[in-house]
Amino acid sequence: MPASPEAVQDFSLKELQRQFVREILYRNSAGLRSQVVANGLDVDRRLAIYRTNARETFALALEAAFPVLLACMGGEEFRSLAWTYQRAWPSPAGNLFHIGTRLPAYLAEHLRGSEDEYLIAVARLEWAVQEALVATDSSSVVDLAALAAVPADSQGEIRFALHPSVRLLRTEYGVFALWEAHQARQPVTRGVQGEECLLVRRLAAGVQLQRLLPLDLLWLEALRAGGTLAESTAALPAAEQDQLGALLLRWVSGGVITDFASGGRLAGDVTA
Amino acid sequence: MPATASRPIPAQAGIGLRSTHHDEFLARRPHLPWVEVHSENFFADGGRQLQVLDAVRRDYGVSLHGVGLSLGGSDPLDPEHLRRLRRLVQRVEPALVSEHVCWSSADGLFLNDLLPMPYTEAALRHLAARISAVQEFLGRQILVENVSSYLEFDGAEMTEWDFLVQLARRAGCGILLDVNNIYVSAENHGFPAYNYLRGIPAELVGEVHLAGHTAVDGILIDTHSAPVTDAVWTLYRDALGLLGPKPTLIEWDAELPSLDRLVAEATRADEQASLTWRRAEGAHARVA
Repeated sequence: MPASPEAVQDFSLKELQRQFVREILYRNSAGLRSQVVANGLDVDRRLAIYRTNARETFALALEAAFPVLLACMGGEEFRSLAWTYQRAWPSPAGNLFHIGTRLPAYLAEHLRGSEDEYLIAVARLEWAVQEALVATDSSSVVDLAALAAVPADSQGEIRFALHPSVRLLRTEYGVFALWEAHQARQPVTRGVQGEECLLVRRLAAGVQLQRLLPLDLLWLEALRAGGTLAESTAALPAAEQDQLGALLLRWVSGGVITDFASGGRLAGDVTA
Repeated sequence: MPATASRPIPAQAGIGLRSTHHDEFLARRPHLPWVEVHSENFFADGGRQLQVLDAVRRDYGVSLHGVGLSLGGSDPLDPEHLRRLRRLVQRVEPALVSEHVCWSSADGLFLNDLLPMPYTEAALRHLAARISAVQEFLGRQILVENVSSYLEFDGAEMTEWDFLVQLARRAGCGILLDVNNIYVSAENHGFPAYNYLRGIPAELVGEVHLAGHTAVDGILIDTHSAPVTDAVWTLYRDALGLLGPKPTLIEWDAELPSLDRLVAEATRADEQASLTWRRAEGAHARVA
């Protein structure tokens, strides 16, 4: 980190900037107008240009991150949402990527129990897609020979690693169909109530969305939480624990599980 | 991780490369010496964007242009933003790294806009200290760009160009001179654009930007959504006459045209530069 230059910070600059931000977002800055030179143009008009810029930049970034939500809501309603959301949760960073972080929770707060409740699930899915797009690259694959060589009495302690881009979701509405329709440039419909288990990940060709069986989601969530093979097995219903071999085969061969640790070290992690 | 620095950037025109054009750019490899990208668009930990930039840097000079550091802000510099910028600089080894003479947040609330500074000694001290800190953290010099503005703060103690020059001298940074921004601000605030140009020492300028603007109800807005206007081309020729040859970038960020149209705009910038030199040589010959 750089040495702190904030020691030279000027309080009046801080106050000016604080009032400016308040004025743009909340029209609330008693002292700002006297600090602005009118120079032939009404000060409110000058400030309105910056308000328009801030709204437009935020809304465009949100539209880019949540295209299915935009399609579901329509442009006008989405723009209205963007502005109320921006005022509730202004951008927290200079990198606009982060503005979508709180949108699913914001929608949950405002739409729970309404006829548009399915939009919460749409936003959760699209934020998972955004996270998958920027996740760390990994070309690691499970070393099957090394996995087979783990002694039987140590196998319960194996920990599996998922590809860094993998995101797991359990939604209260079916949104997979909406995503597929949007990808195919078809009109999107309303989400239908009913649990859906989803896996999102990034492949070379782009983001892939996959429906999961509840059992698969349960097991992968246990692995994602850092559980050992024994712990992830115990997370399954007793009657379905015999599915472990099939689960392991499915997700190792599918490239979702990319590595394993035995004795506290990932097999593919040469730097550990 | 690439092992060699990206190609150098000559005193010729390049274009701002945006994600809409990534695939076409890599497929066609247009005849250009360099491109500029927005740093924040490559802050990801992995993924397609970074792979594109790795491929581009092998054949083109690259400039990293930041829009979100809030150099003039009164909030502390964002350590995560700086870490990601340094990681990107180390990966790309760009010929140029730049940011803006502006601020964008207060109390942790970001407007993600390039907001104007008050041109005071206190603001100058504050900004110079932060630029120095950023350069130390990155281990290299950066360029800082003048922004378009739609208001001025009361109590200015110097002109914008004096502020910019003193900033560069105190912080040891270079200047990215945006000719369109000079034109827009000059029209909006009523100062002569040529005076601004004359106030900038050539040796401080490492890059020039050109872009389009839009007139809305009597005020010019720096929209980056249109071709460079004739008035800005004229000012560009004036700038080159005073500054000499400089790397020049065509910026176009909204209502993006075709890649061909962007490249044509860069070609026009090179033609304008040639025209300026021919006229200068002719004038020298007549004097001799």
